[in-house]
Amino acid sequence: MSEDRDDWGRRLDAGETTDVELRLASRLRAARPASPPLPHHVEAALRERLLSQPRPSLWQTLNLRWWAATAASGLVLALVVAAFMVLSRPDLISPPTAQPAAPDSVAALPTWPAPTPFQASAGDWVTLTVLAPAVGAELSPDVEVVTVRADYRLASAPSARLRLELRSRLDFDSTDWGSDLTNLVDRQFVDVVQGTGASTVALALDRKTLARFPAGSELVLSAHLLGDDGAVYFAQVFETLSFTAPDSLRGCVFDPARDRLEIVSVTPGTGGLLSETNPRVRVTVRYQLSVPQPELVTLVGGLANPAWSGTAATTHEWLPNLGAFMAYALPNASGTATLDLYSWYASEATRGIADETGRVAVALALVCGNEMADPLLLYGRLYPEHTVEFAPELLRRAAPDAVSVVAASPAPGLELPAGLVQFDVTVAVTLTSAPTATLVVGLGDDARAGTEVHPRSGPLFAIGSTPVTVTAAEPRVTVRFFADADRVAEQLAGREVYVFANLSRQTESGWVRLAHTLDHDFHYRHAPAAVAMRCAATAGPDEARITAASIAPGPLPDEPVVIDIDVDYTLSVPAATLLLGFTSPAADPSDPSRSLVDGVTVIIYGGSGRTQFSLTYAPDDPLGWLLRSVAQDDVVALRLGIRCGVPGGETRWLFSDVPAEYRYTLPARATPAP
Amino acid sequence: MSADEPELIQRAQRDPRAFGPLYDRYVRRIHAFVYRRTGDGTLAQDVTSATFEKALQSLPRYRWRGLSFGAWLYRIARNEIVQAYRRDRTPTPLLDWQVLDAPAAPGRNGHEDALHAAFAVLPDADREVLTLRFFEDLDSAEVAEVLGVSVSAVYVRVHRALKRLRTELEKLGQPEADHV
Repeated sequence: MSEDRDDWGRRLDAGETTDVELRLASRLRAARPASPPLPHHVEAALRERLLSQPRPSLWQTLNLRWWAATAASGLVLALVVAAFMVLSRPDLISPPTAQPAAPDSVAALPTWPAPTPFQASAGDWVTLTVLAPAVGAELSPDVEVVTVRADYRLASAPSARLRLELRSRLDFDSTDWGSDLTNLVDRQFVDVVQGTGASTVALALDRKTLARFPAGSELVLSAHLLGDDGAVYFAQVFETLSFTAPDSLRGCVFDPARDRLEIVSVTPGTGGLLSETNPRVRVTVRYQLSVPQPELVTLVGGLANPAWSGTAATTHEWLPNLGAFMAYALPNASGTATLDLYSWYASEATRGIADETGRVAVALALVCGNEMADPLLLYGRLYPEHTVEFAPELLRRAAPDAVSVVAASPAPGLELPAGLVQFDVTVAVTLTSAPTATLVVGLGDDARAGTEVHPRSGPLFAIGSTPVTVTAAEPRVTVRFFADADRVAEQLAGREVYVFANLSRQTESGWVRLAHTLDHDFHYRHAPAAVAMRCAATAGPDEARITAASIAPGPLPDEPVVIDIDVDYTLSVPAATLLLGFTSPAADPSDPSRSLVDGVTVIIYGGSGRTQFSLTYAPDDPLGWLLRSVAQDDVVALRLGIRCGVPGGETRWLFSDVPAEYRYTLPARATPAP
Repeated sequence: MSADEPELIQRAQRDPRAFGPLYDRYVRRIHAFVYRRTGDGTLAQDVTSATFEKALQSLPRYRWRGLSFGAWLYRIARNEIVQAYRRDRTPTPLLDWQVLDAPAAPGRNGHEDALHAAFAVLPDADREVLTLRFFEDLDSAEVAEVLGVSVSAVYVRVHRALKRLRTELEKLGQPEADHV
């Protein structure tokens, strides 16, 4: 076939006319359309402007500025690394391969976005191994994931997040394409604790992503060990992969004359009111695409300020102007489609973009490529002639979000006795930015280094409650949690510990903290004696079993759902952490380090008991997309684990399972209901 | 490609003032290419200007690989067209929707108009590869360089595009066999 193709090509190049297509080529050559000449004065002015540029200095010619900057930053980083090596503990082992946190690997990517501050010690490292597909292979159109194993050692912090990213990178020898140099393809996080470990992660590389790759681009895989708050990183590694995307998938071409979109109807019509009880705007459109593969294109709709211009150069510039946006995969090269926009996704951002009277206008775009990975903006427009209004209750933003501790039991000042202590903490909540939020209450201190506050969980070193959902209609909430003196002493460094309350909300870009307090008026003391971890004393059996799920295994609906799951457990040690989350059905049941998607944890105590988890599945939020990336044939599994020990100390897995009977099938495509 | 081109490139890399001969050699071709792709005279001038400015700016990093300097310029121009539309375009009224949906009618005087009409309704990727190969007179290796694909892939694309062109001509009642 290839020889036939090349033979036909050679005949074409030779100008032969021995078949119909070659004759047509000949006709086409002769029918070259005319184009107006470039006006002489324009040509001359451009010539003069170009040729009047100064001769470059040797500095510019050799691009020494970049090399000098790189060398300087490398020197600084090397000094930092050297300093940490001197100061670090001598018992830290070396990585299995020569992959220390090398500043050189940053220098290899001169256009990489400025990283977060680097705080490595010699004991932190991370390495990458691509498990599939084979590096260097031409990807088939069916390739959907890159499976990567990251081996790591974390020494500089009790816990961290391992961030794995896949990006596309253009050939630097061509021209400067600006931000296109580092298109994010997929990104995943894995929570890790101090010590050595490995995690296998699937990064999505679907048809839409491949289609967005410019010709000549490469894939760059990276791994970072990040501090829990994301403000520092401890180790990093970059690998350039040489997969080749098939030509047939380079489908995201741009033809402004042929990508078209027009609104057929909007319900409610102009002036319609969006409220809690009438939350939906239904938009029906006609569309026409220029790309040869319509499955690469997504219709994105949202609500925006009517005064906005509606124009932007890239999707990343366009989307932040929208709220309550939804995506819809287009089935055909042309036709009609219906998109539902819901006011209950009218987050703070959405309401913030409404005009003074609460009006928002419909905005629509056609994007080509993976919606989560810088797709190509084919067409984007605001339709100020189609506006709706938010009801006053959706716009009420009288006060900022706030949280404060009102009361706590036991009474503050108590020295915690041995054994479990039940805490009941009443918190005053002012919630104005969203209808609901997540509240975590617990004990923390501010004496230990690394008192960063995780957006969702509160202080990094803390004994906290299970996250509870609060609503704007509940000004006071009482939350119960348990703490035992051993764990408090193990986890918290200060002699005094305090009650904290943390209010957060999940957004498209992750968890955002709305309000936080660590109240010194509510203080407790714990025994200063060293506490030996009791995890090694397990007498078994330590096990957990799912006994009920509010949604039976099988297909998940194409809308956000919460699955309540009952778990029975037996624990032979005084306390441990029970984890539940989604994972790949191919995950090794005995490998608890495998990443969880939307994992939830609760603290359990010795003996037998039952606890309930709530797992959320939302097809269109980032976790939904993440879940899709680990699914196999759209099927995902649940993982259960019991971990003894807490971040900051040694941990040990007592139990791990991926029960075969709990498999859920994701909807064929995350779209709003028609 | 002219034999003196590598030397001209080296001289311009050392001194932008030596860019003149390369500019003179390609500026009208690039302008014509951009005009054919956009159909907009003002935009074609802007994009041509941006193309040469970007080329001069990137020239120190250009590596001669045996293909014409023109292919590199076409590649820049192609991207500049996209950038210009993304940056500057305003929503296009949909008054001509029906025209877009249906193949263009043949012109009043025969086969060449029919050819242009059939060409106009081809997918953009087809029109692009045919424009580069037949209207811009780039050889297959140069087209491959512009599009960032292999020469074999260019052959496949040209062949498929011509087949689709033939189909469109047949829809217009102008089978290619009539004109051999």
